[in-house]
Amino acid sequence: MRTCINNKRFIIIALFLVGFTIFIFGKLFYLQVLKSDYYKQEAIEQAQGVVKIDLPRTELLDRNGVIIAASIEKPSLCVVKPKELKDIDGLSRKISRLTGEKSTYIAEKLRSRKIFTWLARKLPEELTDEAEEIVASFDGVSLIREWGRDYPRGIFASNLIGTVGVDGGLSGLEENWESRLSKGQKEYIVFRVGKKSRLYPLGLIDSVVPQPDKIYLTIDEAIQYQVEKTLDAICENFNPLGACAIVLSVPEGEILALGVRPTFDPNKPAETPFAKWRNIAILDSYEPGSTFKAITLATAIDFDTKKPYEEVPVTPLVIGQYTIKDDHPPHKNFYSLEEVLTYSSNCGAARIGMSIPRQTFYQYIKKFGFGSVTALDFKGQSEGLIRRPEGIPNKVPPWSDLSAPSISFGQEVRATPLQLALAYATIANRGIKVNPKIELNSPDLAPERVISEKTAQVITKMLVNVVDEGTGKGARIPYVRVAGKTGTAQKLGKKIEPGRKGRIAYFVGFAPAENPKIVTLVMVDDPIGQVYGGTVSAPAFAEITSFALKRFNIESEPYTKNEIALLTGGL
Amino acid sequence: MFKEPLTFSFKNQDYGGIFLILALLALGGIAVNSATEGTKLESYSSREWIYISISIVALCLALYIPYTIWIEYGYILYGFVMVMLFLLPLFGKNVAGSRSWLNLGLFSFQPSEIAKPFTILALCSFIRDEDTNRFTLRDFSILFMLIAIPFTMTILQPDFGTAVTFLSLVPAVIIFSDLKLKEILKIAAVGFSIAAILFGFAWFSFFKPYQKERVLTFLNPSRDPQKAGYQVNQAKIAVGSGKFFGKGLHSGTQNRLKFLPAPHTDFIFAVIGEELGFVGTSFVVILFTILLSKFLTIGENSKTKEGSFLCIAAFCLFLLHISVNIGMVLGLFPIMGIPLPFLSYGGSFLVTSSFLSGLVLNVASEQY
Repeated sequence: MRTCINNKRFIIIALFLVGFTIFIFGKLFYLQVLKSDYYKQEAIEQAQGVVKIDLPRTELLDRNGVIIAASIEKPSLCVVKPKELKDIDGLSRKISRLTGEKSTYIAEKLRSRKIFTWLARKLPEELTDEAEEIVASFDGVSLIREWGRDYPRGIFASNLIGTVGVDGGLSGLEENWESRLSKGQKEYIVFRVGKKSRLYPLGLIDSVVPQPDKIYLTIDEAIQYQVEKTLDAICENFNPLGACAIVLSVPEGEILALGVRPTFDPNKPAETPFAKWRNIAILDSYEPGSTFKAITLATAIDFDTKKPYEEVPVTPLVIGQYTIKDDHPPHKNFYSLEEVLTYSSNCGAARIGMSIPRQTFYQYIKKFGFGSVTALDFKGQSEGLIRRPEGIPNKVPPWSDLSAPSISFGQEVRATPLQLALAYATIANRGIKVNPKIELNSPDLAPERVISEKTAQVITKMLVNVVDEGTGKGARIPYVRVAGKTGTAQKLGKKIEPGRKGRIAYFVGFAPAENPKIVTLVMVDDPIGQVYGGTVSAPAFAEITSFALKRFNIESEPYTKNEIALLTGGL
Repeated sequence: MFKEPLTFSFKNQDYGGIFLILALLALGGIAVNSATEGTKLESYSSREWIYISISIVALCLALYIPYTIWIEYGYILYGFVMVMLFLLPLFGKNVAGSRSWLNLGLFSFQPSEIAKPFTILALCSFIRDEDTNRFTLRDFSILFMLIAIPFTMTILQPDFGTAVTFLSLVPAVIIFSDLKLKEILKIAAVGFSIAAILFGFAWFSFFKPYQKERVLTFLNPSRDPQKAGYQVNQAKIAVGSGKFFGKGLHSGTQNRLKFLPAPHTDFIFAVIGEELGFVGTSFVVILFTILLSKFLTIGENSKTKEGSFLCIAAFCLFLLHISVNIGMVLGLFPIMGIPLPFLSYGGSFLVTSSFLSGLVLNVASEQY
């Protein structure tokens, strides 16, 4: 008997079922497909436990692949629903021991937050075991692995590399290259399941930026290490306000090392005041002092207002009410241009500078790179200071009669240590401008001639003589011809601390002189005891430069005076 | 008109149907686990697995003993459960203001849930003894009385949601009867009038404020987004935010962060929606649709009219549960405490659902 149920009714009911199913499907499709973004956003907005977790940051490597700034997983501790914790005070004490934060502050945070709170973020890797112990002994505490920065070498080019905070780069390249290094953050909803926290990734508002995993810097780990060591010694011996050393390659302009004092440990930045994070080699400008005489002479010879063999008087120079004198009285009344440099005569340099038309002098100085930021990819660089001869109406006064002679020996002009090193690199590069690089294999700028090759060679020969016979004897390196210049600048317009003399001791130069490869600058700001560039900075220069030459297997023939005379064509 | 009892045979079983029920039970276990893990209700998950085991026993029992025998004892079983319902006001455990639980020491259960299949069995017994499907007024009165007793007893507990489910048996009787369409319409008109009067009476006498609120909010969802509207809204957010593939089991934030009300019972479908996405909800809807259409076809092909009615009644009961529960989660119905068969947490209903499905599949086994 198959007539138990009316066939028509069966079909009606079946159709009803089909209609119902289709209707539910339609509604589900509407909610979960068509309007799902809206509802997802709603769910995110009302879930207060949203956390952002940093993705691995691009690593910074030295030119040979040695890691300078690494990206490693670091443990962070968090609590979801802190109010459900049993022993808030006990936990606060434990965390306090881990982070150094006040336990009362932590306890207060735990009592006031409803949904979620971090306890400690990006703890050092070595604290992982202790962090895990806390997780095991306190229900509700969870360990979340985040990506954090690690500087395996500690204090190592720290002022250049910089450091990072919770929101990204705080200083140095880390700050400058934030957009290149940061891969962004991933957002998660964090919620608690039993004793553990869970992360639920929020696909909608992730801001993941594709970045390379690593960037090779031009820094050479070994030379940088030598620089740090030398700077430490300088600080120990002369207790200066600051110091820096820059090592550049010629002709590439690659920064092989850049060290700054005072400095800080980028792994524990909070322990050092922010002022000590500063990269004074790039961000600050100083009077270049006698080191600038090479620029003056290069201009005069290149513009042909003085011949290399000419002699200039070195007697005190009276301009209006001012008299320019030399610190070390010259042993004769006339110096050749070479002698002006060798014995670093202010009077001689001033007379040479005055021989150059002001506008020309200014233009050469600009061409050497002073008064404008370098090509380095680094924000906030100081331009230094060089006034236009005509000034700017109502803003900057024009050059006075004292300006040209002052500039000639490095006063009334300011330059960053990097600018100064680059000007010497230009001389070392036979007159073609050298632009700085910090990233390996970054493109070269179009070559630009500043002075003729001949002028560059003449100045180089003179700078060799400075080291050979003049003020720069401290910079000698056995078996290598070194060209360089001392400088002992007076800091103008600044309060001088008691017990200090307000001098900046420089040595900047390059080697080997006949085929320059390495340019090194050492600047010591207001040393105590010795103040002269020749005694404070020149030995440091020699130490660093000889190390760099050895590092690159750059050899130089032992030389004699006759050889130089032959080399430079008997000038 | 006693019939020879059928004997159990492995060959004759509807394995597709059995598999379907087992799949739904497993899915329910997983969903309840995901909804309760890590919350205060964590122990519910293991309990649910025990209920599922008992349900499988109930399913086997329903499959093994021929449905004709079950119907044979229909009145006795019905009478037994009615006694329990009458005892409830005296011995019932008071849970959240209603006495719907009977504590037997070892375990407690809800007689009103057990009453569902047994009421159907009693109806089947009556229909089996009738010569034709052309019911007289007296027949209708008896049939409706059989439904009205558990309905009234349940509403007095009070458990409005469960009571309403008994009413799904009324259309089952009407569909099954040989009434003409005109007559059905007449009855429907009278039925709706009575329902309206009852509803009006209920509204002013014993509807609790929250129940009135639910109805009003359903009629106008923006009325009160913080209270009754809040739950519907949260359920919708849960389902919608699951998107196509869901957030993954145990990862539903709506559930975890307690935005969802009663996630393991009435709103289990929202948990599935959030954690398994459109894929998960579609799968559930498809399983239910197959199950329901199976009920219908088994009913149509039954060799006995009581078997046929059994299937129609089970169909109507399940359809009501499924449509009201899913409709509630999706904001199509006002919120009512009606669980989703096989998926919602709760032992009594899980066992009776499996038992009832087993009976329907038992009807199928005679067709081979």
